[in-house]
Amino acid sequence: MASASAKKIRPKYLSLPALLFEIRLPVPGWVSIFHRISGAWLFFPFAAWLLYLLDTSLQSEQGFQYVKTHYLTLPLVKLGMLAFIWAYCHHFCAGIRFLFLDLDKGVDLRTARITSWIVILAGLALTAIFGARLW
Amino acid sequence: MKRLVVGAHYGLRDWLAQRITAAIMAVYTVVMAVVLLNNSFTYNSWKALFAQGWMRVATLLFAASLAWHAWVGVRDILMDYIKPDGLRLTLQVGTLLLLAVYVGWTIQILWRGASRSANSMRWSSAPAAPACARHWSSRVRI
Repeated sequence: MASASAKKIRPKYLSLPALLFEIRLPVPGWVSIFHRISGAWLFFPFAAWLLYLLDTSLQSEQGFQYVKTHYLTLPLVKLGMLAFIWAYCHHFCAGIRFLFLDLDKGVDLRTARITSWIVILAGLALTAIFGARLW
Repeated sequence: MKRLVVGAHYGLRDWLAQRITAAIMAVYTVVMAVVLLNNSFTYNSWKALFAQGWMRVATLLFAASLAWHAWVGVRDILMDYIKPDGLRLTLQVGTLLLLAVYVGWTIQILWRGASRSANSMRWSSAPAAPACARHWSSRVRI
């Protein structure tokens, strides 16, 4: 009986409402989950999208002009580009933080929280810098 | 007594590979950021950038690193969230195929004009060669 009662449905709290409203992630948790989400986005669709842009812009003068003066001026494309730039910059900064954590640098709680904030803010700042060149 | 307790023992290798490829891509990213911030973004400057040998090799190294890195990362995500074995295997195969397509596409983009550039370098500048190739060959010859 004891083993039967131990086989309740697990995990208990990972329903969608719980994920959205109950579980509060600490800052390093946000950095981590955003690293995963941005990584997934970069794999698809952003890598394919960038290869398409590189392909078109290097194929011919017309292709380059199309990308530069038309395609990249479309509002939806700019928004997508901004999302790509953020995903790349966040993934980059968070990744470097993880490399340091692997070397046991900055693993105490205080430092980990500070570096998490730095990663989040640096990702946004870099997005602003490279995004500004898009406009 | 020597015992293998768990797993297929690819964990450490993949973990290490993901970090090494990350470092390679990070270096490429910093170099690229500097190069892009200094590029005038005309067709000729753009084409000339990717006509350089080191740029082609570095970009291919980046693409190969990305494929390996993303394979480990995406496989981890699939193992975490996709529970049905058949679906997970299908998605993993799809991931590998897509990454292979990325690398193949990158090679195609990078070396599309290579034979023409090489020809114009060898035979001096034929009029038919694109401006960037002439530019490149003239620089190489001097």
